[in-house]
Amino acid sequence: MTNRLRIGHLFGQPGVYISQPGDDVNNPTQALALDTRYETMDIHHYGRRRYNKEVISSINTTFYTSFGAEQFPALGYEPMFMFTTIRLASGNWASYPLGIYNPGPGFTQNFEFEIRGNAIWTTFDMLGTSTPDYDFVYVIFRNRLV
Amino acid sequence: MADRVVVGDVGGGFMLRVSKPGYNAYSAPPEGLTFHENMRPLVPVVSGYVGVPAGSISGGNLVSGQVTVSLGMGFSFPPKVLIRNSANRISVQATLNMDNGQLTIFNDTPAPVTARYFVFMPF
Amino acid sequence: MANRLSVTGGRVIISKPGYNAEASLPDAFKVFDSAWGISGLIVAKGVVDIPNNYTTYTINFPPQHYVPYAEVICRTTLTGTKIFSVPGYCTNSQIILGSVTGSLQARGLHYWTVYGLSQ
Repeated sequence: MTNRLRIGHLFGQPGVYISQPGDDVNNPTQALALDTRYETMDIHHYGRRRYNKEVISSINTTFYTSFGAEQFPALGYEPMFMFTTIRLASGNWASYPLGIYNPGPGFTQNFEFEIRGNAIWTTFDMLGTSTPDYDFVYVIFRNRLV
Repeated sequence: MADRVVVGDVGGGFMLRVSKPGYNAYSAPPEGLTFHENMRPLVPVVSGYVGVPAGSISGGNLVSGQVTVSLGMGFSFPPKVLIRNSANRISVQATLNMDNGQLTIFNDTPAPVTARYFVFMPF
Repeated sequence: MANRLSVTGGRVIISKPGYNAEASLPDAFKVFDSAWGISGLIVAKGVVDIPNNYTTYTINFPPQHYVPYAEVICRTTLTGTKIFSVPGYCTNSQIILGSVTGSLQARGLHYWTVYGLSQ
């Protein structure tokens, strides 16, 4: 049977190492299932909020904003995050890796997402006035951004 | 030398911790640990392989190839989706219909690739 | 008190506080299960400020025994879409930024993350 667990030294460092099924932890060819040389993404907080939507007919543009209303428990440093917008039309649509989904015909522009302290600041605009609602969804991790 | 791995009952509570170099696993703050027993991980819920057709290049612009695969579940909260492919491309793009679990994967190269998708949920 | 670590038949399960580590425990109550095969490992991450628009740019990370997966997000000071993902490819020790068409990529802060995922 393949060795999959090692508690001790591997790659020159002490830790806990678990290989993928079928892969020998002492001589792995694939990524390890658990490799404590490295961080694992550790969730701190997640949430979902509707963008404020404002239609400016004179320039045929719709603005989506959320400036600081969505907050999470403070960490005191800049964290890793996951972010996606969800287009609320004909189903809930998420997109990756950055979470701006627009199947057209208008195009998304001036998209911005920022974590300021413990609050989310995000905005984008889209050509057209018959545009659907968007939510944004985020996960804040305890891991530092850099 | 610092204790780097702790596994077992410590002071009446379970502890499984691995510290970063220079930190003692018994006493390190969370930022000094790579793994600890009270983590909230992203849980892998589904993964698989699918072929993605080639993109096409015309007039200097690329039109991505794409394929849609059914994940076999709906999502009330968007999962974290990471997609490798056989061309080792980064930042692979995809869209997900959360209601029916249809994942559309894009290929930004002019040759077909095999994509390996990983879907994680926060709990 | 819950038994939070189970090593049985080669399978390692670590449960969240208050739950016994066993195979029938729903995944939502686990910290780790070796049956998952993968986890959210971050092999390396960082930020680099690329001062000029570019066609190709190389970021180095510690060599791995396989080719991992990476995502790069650019926050640019150019007008228009201010934050977007950046194309490129990975080797076992480098991220090489740039599109297959050789088109210009925007200058700005590039946040990069290498995940422990193999093909």
